[in-house]
Amino acid sequence: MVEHMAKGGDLENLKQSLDLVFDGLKGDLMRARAVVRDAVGHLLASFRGLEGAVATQRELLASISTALRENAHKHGEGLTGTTSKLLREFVEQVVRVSGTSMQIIEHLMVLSEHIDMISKDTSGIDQLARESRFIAFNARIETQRAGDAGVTFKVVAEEIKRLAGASATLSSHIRQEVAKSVECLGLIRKSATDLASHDMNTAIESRSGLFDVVRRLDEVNGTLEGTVARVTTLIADATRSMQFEDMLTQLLDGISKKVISLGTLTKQAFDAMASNDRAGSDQLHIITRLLSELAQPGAVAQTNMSHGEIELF
Amino acid sequence: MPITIAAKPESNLVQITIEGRFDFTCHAEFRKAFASAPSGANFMLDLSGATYMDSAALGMLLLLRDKVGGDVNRVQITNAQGQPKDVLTVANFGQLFRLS
Repeated sequence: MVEHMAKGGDLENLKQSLDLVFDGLKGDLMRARAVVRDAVGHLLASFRGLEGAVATQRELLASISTALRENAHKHGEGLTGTTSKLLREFVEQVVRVSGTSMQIIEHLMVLSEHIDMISKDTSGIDQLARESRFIAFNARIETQRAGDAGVTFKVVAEEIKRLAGASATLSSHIRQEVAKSVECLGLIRKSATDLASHDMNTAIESRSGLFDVVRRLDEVNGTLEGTVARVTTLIADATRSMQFEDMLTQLLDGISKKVISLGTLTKQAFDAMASNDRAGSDQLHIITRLLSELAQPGAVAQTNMSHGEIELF
Repeated sequence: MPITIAAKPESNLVQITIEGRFDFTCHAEFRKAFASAPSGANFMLDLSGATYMDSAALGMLLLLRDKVGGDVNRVQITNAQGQPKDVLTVANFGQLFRLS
């Protein structure tokens, strides 16, 4: 059959055609390697950029966490602890002001009772003044009845009348001052009442809001840490998967070598067939054995990226 | 009447029950409760019917505490719920009174 095929210019034509095919195959393989290398290069650059961004994010989170810890170390408590302390101090201050205001109101009520007593005393003074005037009036009648003998007594009666009038004037003045004092007490009591009466709902809502913020911060922290860890793992997986370039390169290199060897052996086979002698027949046997060696699998045995990365490199 | 006062001489206890808003408008009645109480009396404040407390109410409780010489065990505040309970909690009154 070989003798039949190895005739005329057909073999030479076939040989040239095969050369062209092998050259084309080598070119295709080189282009495939270039395309894979370029694509993998871009993908790796993207993943490294993403890895850098995630690392920056992780460092930012770590710095926030460190700052919070340092703040807690410096002040004995964290940001939420400081806020909670401020709120507690505010409430304590409100309660202290209310308690003191209520004590002031208590004292004012006692003072008010004393002022009521003064008012009652002024009524007594008025009564005394009225009685003194009445005595002075009677004394004047008696002095007129006594004639010249009652002149001296008349002076005393006039003096009693004057003192009664002065007492009444003084009593009136005290009443006016008491009225002003009562008015002032009312104003102080009103101010103290305003100081004592503070709505506590804002403090309750702030406390509730603070607890809510703490709870949500914990949730966000947990979610962020989980997300960052997951992204980091995914990037590591993706980067590892990018190692298929090396696998492909090895495969392509192996194919390329095989194609070159196949081309060489094909040429030699054609030459052996053309010689049509004993030496040519021996050469064909050698070529057949070399071709069977070329049929052996290449260095890369893996069919996916899930295993074998260590033996690959 | 938002404030009801019930003296229980057999147990040396004055029970003060507050309904609705516990604020400064209760002051006069509240003051009567502890002003008329015998020396050495214990107080129990029932807030089961109270719906609102402000800081003036807290101030009145502090006055009552002063009245009993600051003894935590002599003033018991019971059945606070809703806003009054929150007010007592935020004011940390559990350290100053017996809350139950």
